[in-house]
Amino acid sequence: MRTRGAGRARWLVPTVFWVVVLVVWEFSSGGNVVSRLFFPPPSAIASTFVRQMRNGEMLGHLKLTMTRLALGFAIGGSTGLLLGLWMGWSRTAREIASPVLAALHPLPKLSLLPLLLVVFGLGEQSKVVVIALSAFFPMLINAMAGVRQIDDLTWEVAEHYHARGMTLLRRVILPGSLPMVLAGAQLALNSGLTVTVAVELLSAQKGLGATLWLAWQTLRTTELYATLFVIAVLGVLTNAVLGLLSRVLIPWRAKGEHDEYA
Amino acid sequence: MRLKTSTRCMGILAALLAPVLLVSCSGGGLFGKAAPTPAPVTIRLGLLPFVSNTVVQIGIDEGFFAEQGLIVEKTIFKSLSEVFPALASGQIDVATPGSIPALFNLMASGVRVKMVMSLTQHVEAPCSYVALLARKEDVDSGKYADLASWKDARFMSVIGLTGTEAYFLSEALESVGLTIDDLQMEQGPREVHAEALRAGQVDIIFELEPWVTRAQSEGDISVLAPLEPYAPGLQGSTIVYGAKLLDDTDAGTRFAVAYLKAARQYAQGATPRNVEIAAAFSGQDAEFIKKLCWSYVPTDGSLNVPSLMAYQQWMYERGDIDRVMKEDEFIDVRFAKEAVRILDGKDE
Repeated sequence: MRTRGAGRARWLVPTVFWVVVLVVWEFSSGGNVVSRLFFPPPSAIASTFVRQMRNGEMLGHLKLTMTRLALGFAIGGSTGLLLGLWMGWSRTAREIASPVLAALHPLPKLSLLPLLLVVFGLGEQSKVVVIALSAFFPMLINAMAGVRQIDDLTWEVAEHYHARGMTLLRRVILPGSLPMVLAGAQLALNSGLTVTVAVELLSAQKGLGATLWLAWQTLRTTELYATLFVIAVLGVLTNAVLGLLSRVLIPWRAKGEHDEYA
Repeated sequence: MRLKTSTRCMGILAALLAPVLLVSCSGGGLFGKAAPTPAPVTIRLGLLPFVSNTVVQIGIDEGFFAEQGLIVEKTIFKSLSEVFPALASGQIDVATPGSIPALFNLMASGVRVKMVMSLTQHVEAPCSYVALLARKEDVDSGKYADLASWKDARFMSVIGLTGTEAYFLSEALESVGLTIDDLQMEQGPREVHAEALRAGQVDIIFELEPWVTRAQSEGDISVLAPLEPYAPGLQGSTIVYGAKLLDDTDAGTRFAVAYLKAARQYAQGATPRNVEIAAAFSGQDAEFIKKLCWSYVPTDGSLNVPSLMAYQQWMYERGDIDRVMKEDEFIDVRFAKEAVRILDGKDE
C-alpha cells in the first residue's frame, strides 16, 4: 500500500508540474510577457502537430529522418564498435590509431559537409556519411574503454584456458565491454540524431531538419515547435529502445542502472 | 558661443517673431548657423555579412551616422533566422533582411517592424547580380536556351523552392507554361554549387553576387540567364525599423539621412574607397571586389512597392505567408521622404 502510494507520488509531482507549466504558457502567450509569435500557446502547437500528422506530412519527414539516422548509425556505429574493440584489445592497434583518432574526433563533423557533398554527391550518401562520422567516435571510444576496463583476473583466466580468437571475443571481450558499448550506442544515437537534423537543416528538402529550416524561413513557429516535439519524442524513444536492449543483453546489471537509457 | 548668439538673436526679435525665431534659431537656418548637434541616440544595428550590406558599413566608416548624432552598435548575424527574433524582441533597432517569407509573416503578425527604405533592387544592368549559371559548354551550345528545356535540368539553390530565388524562376517559367514545381531542385550550401555543376551533379545553379563572379572565375561556368528581366525591380532586401525607430521620428529620420548619404556614395560603384570598405566588411580580396557586379541601391531609399505587392501575392498563393498585407501595414516611407528633403535641401 505504501509502495503504491509512493509510486503514485513519483508520477504525480512531475505531472502536476508540467501541467502547470503548460497552463501558464497557454494563458501567458500573447500577453505582454510572452510573445505569441515566438512562443505560441501549446494548444496552437498541438493543433499544428495533429494537422501535420493527419495529412501525413510529418510522418513523411519523420520516416526520412529515421532512415538517415538508422543508416548513419548502422555504418558509423558498427565501424566504431569493431575498431574500438580491436583497439581495446590490442596495444599495437591503439598505438597506431590513437593519435589519428584523437586529432579527428574533435573536428566538427558538420564543417565537412560541403566537402563530402562534393566527394559523395548531393544525394543521400554525403548526408549519411556525416551522420556515420558523428556516431563512429562515441561508439569507438566507449567500446575501447569497455574492453580496457575488463579486470586483469578475467584476462588471466581466459589465458589460462587458452581462449583465443572468436572464443575470447564471445566469452570475454563482448560481455565484459557490453555495458560501456551500450552507453556508447546511446551517445552515438544521440549524436547521430543531432547531426541528422543539422544536416537536413543545411542541405535537405525533406526530413525533420528541413521542416525546421522551412519553419524559420516562413516564421511559422507552431510548425517549428511541433517538429521540435517530434525530434524530442524520437530521442526519448531511441533511448527507451536502448534501455530495453540493455535489460535483455545485460540482465546482471542492477535494475536501476538500466534507467540511464530510459 | 552658440548659446550667446542664440540669446542675442532672440533678444532682438523675440517680441515680433517669437514662434518663428524659436524654430529658426534652434535650427540655425535664418542666419546660416550650423545646426546644433542632436542629442546622441544609440542605434543597435543588425547586419548580414553580404557585400550589399556594405552600404550601411560605408555610413559607419565615413562617419555619416556619427554626424547625425547616432551611436551605432553593430551586430553581424550569420543568417536571417537570427535577425528576426532579435528585431521582434527589440534587441536590435534596424536590420537589412532579404525579402523572405519570414519577414512578411513577422510584419503580418503585428510585431512593430516595417520596411522603411530600399537596400537592393534587382534591376536590369550591364552585369547581372542575380543569375542562373550553367557549364560553359551547355551555355555555348544553347542546350538550355529554351526555357521549356529547364524541366529536364537539375537545379540547385540555397533555399530551394521559397523566397525570391523561387519567385524569379516562377516568373521565368510562366512564359513557357511551367511552374517551379516542375523543376528538379536540389538544395545545398552556396559553397558547393559550382563544384556540383562541374561534377555534373546538377545542370543549373542559382547564384547571387559575389557567387556569380566567383563561379565564373575559372572560365568553365557561364551565365545562362540573368534573372533581373523576369522580375524587374524586385525588392531584394530592405532597411527595416523596429519599434524604437518607428516611434522616434527624429532618430529614424537621422538614421535615414545617414543611410542615404551612404547609399549615394555606394552608388558611385567600385571607387577605391568603396572597394576598401567592402573588402574589409566582407572579408573578400579587394581585387575580387572590383570585379563584382554592384547591386542597385536607390539613392532616395524608395521601395519598389508594386514588386513587393506582386511578390507578396505570389508567396500567399504558394502558401508561404499567412495573408497579404496592405501597403501601409508593412511599409513606412516617412523617414526616406524626410531624409531626401533634408539631403536635397542641403545639396542645393
